Amino acid sequence: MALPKMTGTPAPAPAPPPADPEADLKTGPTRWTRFRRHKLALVGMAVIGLMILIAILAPLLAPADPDRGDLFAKLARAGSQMPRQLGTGKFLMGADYMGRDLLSRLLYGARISLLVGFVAEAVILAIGVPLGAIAGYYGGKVDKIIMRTADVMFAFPDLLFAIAIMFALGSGVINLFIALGFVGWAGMARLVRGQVLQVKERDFVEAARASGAPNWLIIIRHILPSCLGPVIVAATLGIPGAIMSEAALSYLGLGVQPPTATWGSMINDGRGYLLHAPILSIAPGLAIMLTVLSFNLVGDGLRDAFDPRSNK
Amino acid sequence: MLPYILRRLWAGIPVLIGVSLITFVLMHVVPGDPVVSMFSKRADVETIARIRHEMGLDRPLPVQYGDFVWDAVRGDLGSSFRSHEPVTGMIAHALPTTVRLTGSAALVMLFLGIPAGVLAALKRNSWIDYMSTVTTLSFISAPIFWVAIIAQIIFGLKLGWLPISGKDHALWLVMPALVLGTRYAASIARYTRSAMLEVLNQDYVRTARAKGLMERRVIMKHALKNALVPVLTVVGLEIGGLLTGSILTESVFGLPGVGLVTIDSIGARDFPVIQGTVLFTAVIYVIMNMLVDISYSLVDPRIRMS
Repeated sequence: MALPKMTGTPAPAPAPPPADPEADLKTGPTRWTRFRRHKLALVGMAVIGLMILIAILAPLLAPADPDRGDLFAKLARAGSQMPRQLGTGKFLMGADYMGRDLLSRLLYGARISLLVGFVAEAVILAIGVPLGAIAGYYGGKVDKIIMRTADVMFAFPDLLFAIAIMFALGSGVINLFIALGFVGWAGMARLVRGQVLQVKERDFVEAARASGAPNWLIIIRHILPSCLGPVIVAATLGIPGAIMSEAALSYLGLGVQPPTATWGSMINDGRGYLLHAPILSIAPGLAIMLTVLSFNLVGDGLRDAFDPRSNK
Repeated sequence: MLPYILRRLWAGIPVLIGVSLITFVLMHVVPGDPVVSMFSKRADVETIARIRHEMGLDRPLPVQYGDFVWDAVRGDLGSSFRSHEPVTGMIAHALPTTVRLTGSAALVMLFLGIPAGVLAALKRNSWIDYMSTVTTLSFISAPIFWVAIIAQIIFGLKLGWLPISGKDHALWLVMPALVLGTRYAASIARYTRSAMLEVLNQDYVRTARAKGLMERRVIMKHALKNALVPVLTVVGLEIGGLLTGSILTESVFGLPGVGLVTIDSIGARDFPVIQGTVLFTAVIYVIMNMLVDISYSLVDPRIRMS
């Protein structure tokens, strides 16, 4: 789910946080070197890059319209000729129960998965980072209210919460963003609050305060940049969670409206034909697994790069 | 010990109030009147108004919320729009299936996950370790409903060893419990591995070895016992996973548990059932987390002090 599943202790703020942004560059190369040592993380990054390309270029790559089918081509085998009105090529991976080209649907499915993954995580960041920063910096009553609300969010199992919200709002991409963002912000807020609590006692924050900088500027210019590492790691690991939730919701019919091709709903569509055309369910699941795995590998690599003490 | 437990229980009350409030708001304030969406265009305005009145939906929202909470506390979650069956009864009927599924999955999770994690840590950087890393990462990255379908294809359709769905066969629980349990065993194995690696580098393990204890004793008594403390918190986190995983698993395998009741009522827009099952599952989750916290404080006394 969209919540970052952190291991044991949250990673401490990386490197002594410099007050002037330029000094931060000095620590840059070492992190990149550490990240580069993770061969699997690099592979993951390459796969994600490829997936993004596929999503962008889907109209050029797809042999046919993903949403148009021909019932005469229902469950057509891989390699059979496409009916004329769909295209001139062959069904390279076969056709689904409505005679739609499986390969085209798979390629277009990458769009929804990546879109939901990135946007939902952006919503989580947009809600979670400010709330966490405010709670950690100001403390007191504001902190109590925000964190008690977060506690209530945590009281719902993620997917169940998302199911309830999607049921209430109705299916659709925008509602998916809202639901997944709403479910996931609390984890991010908790993480940021913890980071801010550590950083705000440091001398450079004290110095900024003494020089009369307003609170919002201190938070944005001095505190948040020092919390960036763990936030980046959590966000990277949150994206596959969002992709997985979208797949589960679409599988349950609560995600994106049909006939739009999404990997989750394709798995569900193929369920009636497991004996004769198992590829209809197997292929989209493999696509989800590959994408989620790649993000997890990159996230692990980033965690090691930002927190050298973790011994993975 | 007792003050800690009481404090923990006391802290759970506002959370439960929040949970009931959010559930109520989601089901009552969001766009789409339950009565309208239930009868769609078949009923005229007067009939809808009458039904709304009979169901008490025309009263002020705070009053409705108060009633909802008061009824829920007494175990009354309303009745299904479709079958007119009390929701509490439906949950009570479905609960044993869900408990058996999640319970046996939890056993699979612990008895597969912890040994796998220990083994991977002890054989660090060997092929066993790599295999275990690849397998666990694959399971974590695969949607659970998809793994369930793959298991149905292999063990049900191709090999014919196990039933594909339903509860009629004597072995109905085997495939769902293994699918659900293995997914979370993968998470536990990963955490156990890193917790073990950390512990194995500690001075007290070196001391235990130096004083000539047998390796098995060092691992079991000195390393594993300490590594399990952080793993226990993760087990708590994974309970939420098991609960949501059980919704999807029940749906794929057609098991009549609480999850399937929820999913079925979504299609029919059966508001009281969804509201009741969501509230019930969330409350169970809160209670489970409390129990985990309390058991954690039993293992690690430092928690109680803070």
